[in-house]
Amino acid sequence: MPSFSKSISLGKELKIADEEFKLLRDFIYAKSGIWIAENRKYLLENRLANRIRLLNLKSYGEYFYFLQYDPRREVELNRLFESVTTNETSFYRNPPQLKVFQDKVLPEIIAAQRAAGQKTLRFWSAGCSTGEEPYTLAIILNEVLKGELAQWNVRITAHDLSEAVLASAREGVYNEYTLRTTPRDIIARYFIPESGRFRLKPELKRLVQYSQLNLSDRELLKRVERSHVVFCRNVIIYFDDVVKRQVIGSFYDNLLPGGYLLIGHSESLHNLSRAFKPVHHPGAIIYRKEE
Amino acid sequence: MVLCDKMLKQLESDDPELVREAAFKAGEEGCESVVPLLVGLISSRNLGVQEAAEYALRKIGGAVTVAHLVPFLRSDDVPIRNLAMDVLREVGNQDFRTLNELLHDADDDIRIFAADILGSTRNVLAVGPLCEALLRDPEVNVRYQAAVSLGNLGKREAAKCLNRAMSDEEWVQFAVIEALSKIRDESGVDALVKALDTSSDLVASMIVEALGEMGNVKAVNMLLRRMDNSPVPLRNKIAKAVIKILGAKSLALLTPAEREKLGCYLVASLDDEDKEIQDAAIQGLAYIGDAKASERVLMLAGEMDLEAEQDRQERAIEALAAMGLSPALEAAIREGESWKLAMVAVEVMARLTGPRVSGILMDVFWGRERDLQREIVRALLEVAGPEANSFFLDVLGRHGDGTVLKAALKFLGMKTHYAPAGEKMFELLSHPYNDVKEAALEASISLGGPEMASRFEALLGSAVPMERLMGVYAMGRLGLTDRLESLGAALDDPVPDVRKVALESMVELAGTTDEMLSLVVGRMHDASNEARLAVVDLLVKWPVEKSAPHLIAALDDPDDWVRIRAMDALGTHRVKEALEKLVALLSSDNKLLVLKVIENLGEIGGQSAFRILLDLAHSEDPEIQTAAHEAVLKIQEEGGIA
Repeated sequence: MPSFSKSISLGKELKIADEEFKLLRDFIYAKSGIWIAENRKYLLENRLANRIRLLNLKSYGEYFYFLQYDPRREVELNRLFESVTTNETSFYRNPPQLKVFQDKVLPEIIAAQRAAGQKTLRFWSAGCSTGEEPYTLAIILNEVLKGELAQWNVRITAHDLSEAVLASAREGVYNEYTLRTTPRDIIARYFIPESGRFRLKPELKRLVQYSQLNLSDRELLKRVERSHVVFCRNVIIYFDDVVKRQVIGSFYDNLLPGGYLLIGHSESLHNLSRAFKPVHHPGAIIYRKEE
Repeated sequence: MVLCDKMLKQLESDDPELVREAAFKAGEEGCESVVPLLVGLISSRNLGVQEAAEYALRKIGGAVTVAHLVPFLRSDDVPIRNLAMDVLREVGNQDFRTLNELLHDADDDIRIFAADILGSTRNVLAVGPLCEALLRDPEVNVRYQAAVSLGNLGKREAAKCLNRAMSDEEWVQFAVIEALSKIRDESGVDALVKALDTSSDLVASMIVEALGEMGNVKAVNMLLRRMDNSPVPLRNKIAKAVIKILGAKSLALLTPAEREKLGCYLVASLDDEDKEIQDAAIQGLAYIGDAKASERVLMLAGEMDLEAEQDRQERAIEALAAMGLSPALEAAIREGESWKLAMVAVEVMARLTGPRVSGILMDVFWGRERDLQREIVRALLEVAGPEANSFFLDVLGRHGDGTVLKAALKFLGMKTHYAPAGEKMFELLSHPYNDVKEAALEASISLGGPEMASRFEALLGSAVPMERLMGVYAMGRLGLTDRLESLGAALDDPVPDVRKVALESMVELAGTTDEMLSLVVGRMHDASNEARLAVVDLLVKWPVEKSAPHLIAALDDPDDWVRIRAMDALGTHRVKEALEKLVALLSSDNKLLVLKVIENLGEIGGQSAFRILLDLAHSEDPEIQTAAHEAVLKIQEEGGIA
């Protein structure tokens, strides 16, 4: 039965064959380190069916070839990455952990830098999605350093796999939903209302530098500037244990001595790394690289 | 080797980062020469260095690693000792003799550690030494660990010594029972059943669980006999074990008296806190449960967490359906006091049959809230027949929920083909939700008839593209061969999708006539590549001698996917006349196109194709090389180049 239209499809549901699933699964893994387990086959099928329909392809096998050879494959690869990751994020996500960052981690690092006569701060948001996390860090830095911020050399390096989400992050305009856990006074201080949406103030945007990066690319990760704190929240869930260990090892190597790794509240380094020292705080465990 | 020497030097650095890097590299390279240094580093105070050293030791392994780690088992530094043990569990198998010797060490702790490590070796040779430790070691904790390790090894060869150890003290018995349940040797069943009568309640409870796991029917009689005299917790465990061993279906083979007794005990065990016991009871009651059991299982299913216990609830629903319509199910849906119970009851009813069930569902529908209504119509779709026609027509007329409307459309259009609903169905083609529109379209087409055909024909002149699209689509599906002309006008529609679907519909109606072929070929230069793709897909329906020239012409199309579809069709029909144009496409920049040409040259076969492929098999591009090899192979397999 022919595809009826792109908005309404009366065609039979497109089913992914086992062989096609394996080809696409291995392709995605090789390109991104994201591992899609057998029991999530339906997820791949659901999320890619629309791409296949829009590209006017007949099967998942054709889509696999498209990704490898079609002249539009680079653009499509980004669409694929967007399809297999959720990019669910918000400002001030996981407030207890951010409170620990604001009240404990940041003052400790700032004090150590002052004692060493340095005014440099480096942060890395690995898997930054549409920018809510790195901008939250920028806001917190502003809250802690206040007028002194201008005297510090601060950089938040933000990476994501998807170019499309980075473009959105660079724009820095957000809806109310993504600010749902952000205190009202923070919104008032750092955002400019703009026809029902909220634009982040330019002085904060300047603190963040975005670029595309594949976390499973060990060599590229070595080139990231070393950080006082690495944020990688709700990202490693996409990887299998081998890539998880490799990515966490890269974060360890990137961190400056005494630096911290902050991961998602439902994630743990158990069985992945013993190199970090877990530091327990109310509502949050953070991981320290010992000096 | 050079690299290993370099790493050896780097491991002596004072810079932890250099040491860490060297350890990882040495591990990857399997440098045995650095093992002494690595072993020293596992007690480094720098956790990053320690982790890298551990990783490397696991990777390198071998007798040298085992020999250097064994002394750490005597360390008083517990984390380091545990770390050494953990690495030895992984690599110990590579120096079995050293570990064996440790089983005779004078130090009790060392013998415990050795037994523990041997349990991870996956080596049948460990069974003998561990059995000896189990039966002869004077220290109870060594015997306990030996039993645990024999269970971890899971080798049948250990059953005999484990059976003998059932007479050891209770602490060892625990480990022995667990080990026997893992090994599942038949002799173990006899030993456990024999021990049941003389065991304490705690040990008996473990034995019952083990027998359930082992699944040997020999144990059933003994277990059933033991039920009457057991305390409630043990009786519940026995009930679970019996279900596990027999499987629920086989309960029918028990005598009526045994079934009745077991049924009562299963209902009682629904109160146990252990969810596995509850689940086993539910499973058993599906086959021997009565109205009382239905009521109790329904209550339990209603208490289950919808997100975390979805599978459990599904099994409970299955069991309730197997028990049939009961007063408890009817009350749950009629009284509606608990939303969760009502949802479960509806789900169960969807799996039952008969007008009584559909009557209850229709009766309560309008008085329930939306989510339950959605479930009710879904259930009616499964169980109801024509008796529900007027109910669903009423729903179409006055309900606003998309999910409910879709179910009603499906029922009236596809299930009962209820003609009086036609007008209402057609009205829903302009519903704001696409999924409702789609359901209305499918239902209307399924209903069919001249009146419906006229309605769709009228849509062809609509100013709304979506309506014209639905019109041309439905005309094809309805098989209205006498209205072919009215579709012809749609071939010039400004919307490509309408043109494409109109063409498909016309071919569907008229079949593969010469006239239709001219019409289709006439669309080969449509401005829309999607319409041209549809043309190629349609051409395949004609006999190859008629379609081939046009498919060959499609190889000149500006869109690569149109060319690919055309060459696939030509390859399938082995059209040799296409060779020249196909070869010309080998110089395309699009690699997929090139690979597809190669694949289709293999399909078409023949001497010319074979020669071209042989040349390509020497390409510098490995993918092209591989594709050419495969194509050559295909030609050879299918009878060579003749």
